[in-house]
Amino acid sequence: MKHFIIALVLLGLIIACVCVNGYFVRKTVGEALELTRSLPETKEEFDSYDGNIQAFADQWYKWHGYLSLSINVSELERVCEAVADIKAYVQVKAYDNYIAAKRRLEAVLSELADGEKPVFFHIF
Amino acid sequence: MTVILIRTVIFYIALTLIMRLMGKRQIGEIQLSEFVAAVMLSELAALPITDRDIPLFHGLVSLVALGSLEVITAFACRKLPRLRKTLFGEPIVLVAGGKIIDKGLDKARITLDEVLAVIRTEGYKSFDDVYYVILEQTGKISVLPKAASTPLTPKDSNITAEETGPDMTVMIEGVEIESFMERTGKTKADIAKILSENKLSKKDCMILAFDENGTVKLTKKETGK
Repeated sequence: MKHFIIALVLLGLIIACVCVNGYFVRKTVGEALELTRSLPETKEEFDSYDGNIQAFADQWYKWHGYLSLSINVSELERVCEAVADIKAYVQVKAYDNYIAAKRRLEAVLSELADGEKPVFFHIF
Repeated sequence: MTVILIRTVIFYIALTLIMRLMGKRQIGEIQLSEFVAAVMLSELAALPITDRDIPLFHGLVSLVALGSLEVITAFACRKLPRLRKTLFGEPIVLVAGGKIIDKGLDKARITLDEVLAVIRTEGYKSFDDVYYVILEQTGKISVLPKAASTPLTPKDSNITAEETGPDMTVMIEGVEIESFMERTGKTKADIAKILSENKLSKKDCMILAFDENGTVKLTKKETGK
């Protein structure tokens, strides 16, 4: 009986931990997605952009540390790569490459957030 | 991680069902759910250790979920006979009254050669010596001999045999075994007294045991070559 109760408690804890993690990942990735969408979209906005792209990259690397506890490293590396590309293209003022990197980052972040959803497609 | 947890549960159920379909012979002496857990645990533990890309938590979630599921399944089986029957099945009679039960062999997918091998392993020379052969839920095959082939016991000769029970080892190589001390009602002082009566120190004692009648069984440590 004692083992059964311990097992039930452990299973409950794991389920709670998984739910909290799912919420945290979706929230953090959602914030990252919002931040990405706040970056310049049109050529005019890009040309006149004087925001701190380094702050954007630093914010992502801060989240990266927490997310690496529960997300596969290879998936996070795809995000890091896109963030680094965005930063570089903003610095060299290459709009076309920048917008491609931004789209890639949005797609990867959306995939990360979706990956935590317990939907049929992901389970099977 | 949600997906990993759900996948673990699905794999546990699927593997249990598949092993149940494969039959008892695959599992040997352990329970089906234990076998499934053991197979999955060994793989799950290896993956996060060897693959640096997999976060440790992915492995931990699966391991804890599997371990808990195994304990919960075992408890549920203990309390719910119907579930126990569904998961572990029933014993299958392969030989009854000295006659081979074909239906039983078909159901257990065991050949007659295997039954004869088990009979020989159990120490019987001929199939004629055997009265019943049963495939148990654990996968073990029990062989029950005919009355004429059963070894003589004191009961057959109307001799009263004294019940002594197993030896309760209270000390091994000078270390007290508290669970057996409790069972035999012996204290550290009792053990020290026995040792001093035999002019032995703790380190000279290899095994000290008592049977149910309180008979002392002492084995000294041999120091000579």
